[in-house]
Amino acid sequence: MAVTRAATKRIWIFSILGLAILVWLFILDVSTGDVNVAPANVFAALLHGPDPAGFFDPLGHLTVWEFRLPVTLAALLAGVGLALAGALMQTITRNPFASPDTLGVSQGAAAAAVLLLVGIPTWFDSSPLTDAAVPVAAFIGGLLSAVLVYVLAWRRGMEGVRLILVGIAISVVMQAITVYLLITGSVEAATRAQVWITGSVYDASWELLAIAFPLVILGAVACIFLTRHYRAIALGDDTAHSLGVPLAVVNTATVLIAVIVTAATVSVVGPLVFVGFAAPQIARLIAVRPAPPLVLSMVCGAVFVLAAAYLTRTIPQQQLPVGIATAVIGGPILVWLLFRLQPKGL
Amino acid sequence: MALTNHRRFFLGWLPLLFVLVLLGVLASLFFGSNPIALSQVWQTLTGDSAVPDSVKSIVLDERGRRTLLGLVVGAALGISGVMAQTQTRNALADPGLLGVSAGAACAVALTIYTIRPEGQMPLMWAGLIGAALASLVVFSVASSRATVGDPLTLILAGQGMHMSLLGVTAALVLLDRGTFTQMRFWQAGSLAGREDDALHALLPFVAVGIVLALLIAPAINALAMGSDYASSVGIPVSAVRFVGIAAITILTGAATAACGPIAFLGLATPHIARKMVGTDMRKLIPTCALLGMALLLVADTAGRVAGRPGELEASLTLAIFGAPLFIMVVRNRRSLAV
Repeated sequence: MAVTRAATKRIWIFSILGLAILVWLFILDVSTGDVNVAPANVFAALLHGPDPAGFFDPLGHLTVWEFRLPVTLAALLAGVGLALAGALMQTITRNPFASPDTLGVSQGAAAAAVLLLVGIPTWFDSSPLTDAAVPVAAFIGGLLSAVLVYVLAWRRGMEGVRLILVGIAISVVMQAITVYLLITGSVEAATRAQVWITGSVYDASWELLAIAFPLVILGAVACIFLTRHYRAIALGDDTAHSLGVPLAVVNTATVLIAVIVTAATVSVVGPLVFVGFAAPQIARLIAVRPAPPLVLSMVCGAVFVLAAAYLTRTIPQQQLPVGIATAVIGGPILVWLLFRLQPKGL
Repeated sequence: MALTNHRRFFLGWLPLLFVLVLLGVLASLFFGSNPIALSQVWQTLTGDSAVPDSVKSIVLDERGRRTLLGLVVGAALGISGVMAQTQTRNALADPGLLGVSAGAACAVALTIYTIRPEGQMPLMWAGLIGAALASLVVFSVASSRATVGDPLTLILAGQGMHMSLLGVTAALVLLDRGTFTQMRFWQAGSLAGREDDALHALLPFVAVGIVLALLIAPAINALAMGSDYASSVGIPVSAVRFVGIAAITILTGAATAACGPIAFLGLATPHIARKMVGTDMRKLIPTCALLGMALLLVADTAGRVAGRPGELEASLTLAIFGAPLFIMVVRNRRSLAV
């Protein structure tokens, strides 16, 4: 019991610490760019609200609310959503491998988006229609792919390992289709598609965020009701069953939440690799628990993606997709954590 | 139970697998993106001088060469797949998972980005070195822990490497259009358009990899009973794990460098093979090699026929036709434990 209480305390301390870092990164990220806005002004502009009337620095207000905030919020969305989906999948499958990428959602979304970006050349021109069509196609592609995975993996109930195996199979197919489309398209279209599949926050808009954010928040709220079941599931399916956990219901609900959250996130920022896999694992290693704690995972994911977005923004000229940074930073962090925080007996 | 396990393997499965490979070779020679009459192919193969030279060169040079390449790469990927799954004790393990093919891809991108080499050979070597470095890092991370070679640590370290290297590759590709143009063709793994010398360079590596894998097969069988049991019967556990990783690296690195990343073969082959012959590595390794050859050749041929007048890459056909089969195996298996 003493161990559990210490671990809970650890989770709280790190969550609060993470939130503080998150606020700091958020302000920093919004204030940095081609035009720098002083962090104090960013803070004031955020407090002032979206209406610029009466604000002392109109240009700063415009920069913050029109250009920076959607991009930073997209990064936040990506971090929270993917980390949540990853933590959920890792919890119900009890496999550190499980992540949104192995559900087929990310790859399905990518294939659908690339099909639009490459397959229909006239759509390549940036028009309002394209801007709306690509995320919608990605969302639908992700959902369809997930449904396919779920149907194919269902056999007298749902088993985590089988779900991941089928997910990987479908992901590989989707990936192969994506690579094939990249070869067939023109270099320009293929470059744009490559940016999209690497994961970029620059296509975010208020309209997209207004759809995606509520979905992610709904998913997170729904998980609150399932948390006590997750504790039992961490002990094994048999134990959970004997403790009266309705496994089929909980697993199906969890997969559904993870899929919707992932599809919503991926349709805005693209299939950002590594976040859904790494953030819950980092949280798990910090918390010294067999299953990743949900809140800490989301905080870790958000800090991670915001830091990555800030880093890519400090590189001048190139609007590099944030996916590059999450991948390049994420790997060493994880390896370092494996060295430092290897919990005993896990 | 009229037949014992061994007799069932040597008299049943092994001949069947050889027939499958033979069928694959014949399919690969007889069908292609150029529709040539089957009788003409037959005349070419039997050495009939009446066949026009153009047909001869297509059948013997182009189709013959890629058939050989398919045999070598198929065997390499099949074996490295089963080695990776037993090594990590994870039904999901794929050599790509250990960061090996990502290392190869990253090194190839770096080579194109910096020196823009002519031809396939420099890329081949770059891929091989990249794969080796990636495996070296992953394995040293996994082995320097108190829990030497703990499968979970290995997978986490490998996945970390994999994602990071893909990120570096994406950065190189997006920073330079020339690199992107070249990389996007290499990224689709295929037996087509690879140079003559790729096969020659590939052979010794694959031979060494297969020998290493076969040498430690009995030891891996003992390891499957748990590392405590293995060391109690006198098996040098760390050494066996190291040789296993070396074999995976050599086989995957060479194959990826020659043909680009071909996913799915290394993941699917062991699952099908275990269904046929069980979990004894001494039988699994040859089974996976032969199965890998047959699957790759059939996939490549199907891609050539389906994609006329061009062709579909072997990696794409393999994924599309292999996935349903793989899902079937997954659904029917009682337990997914390796």
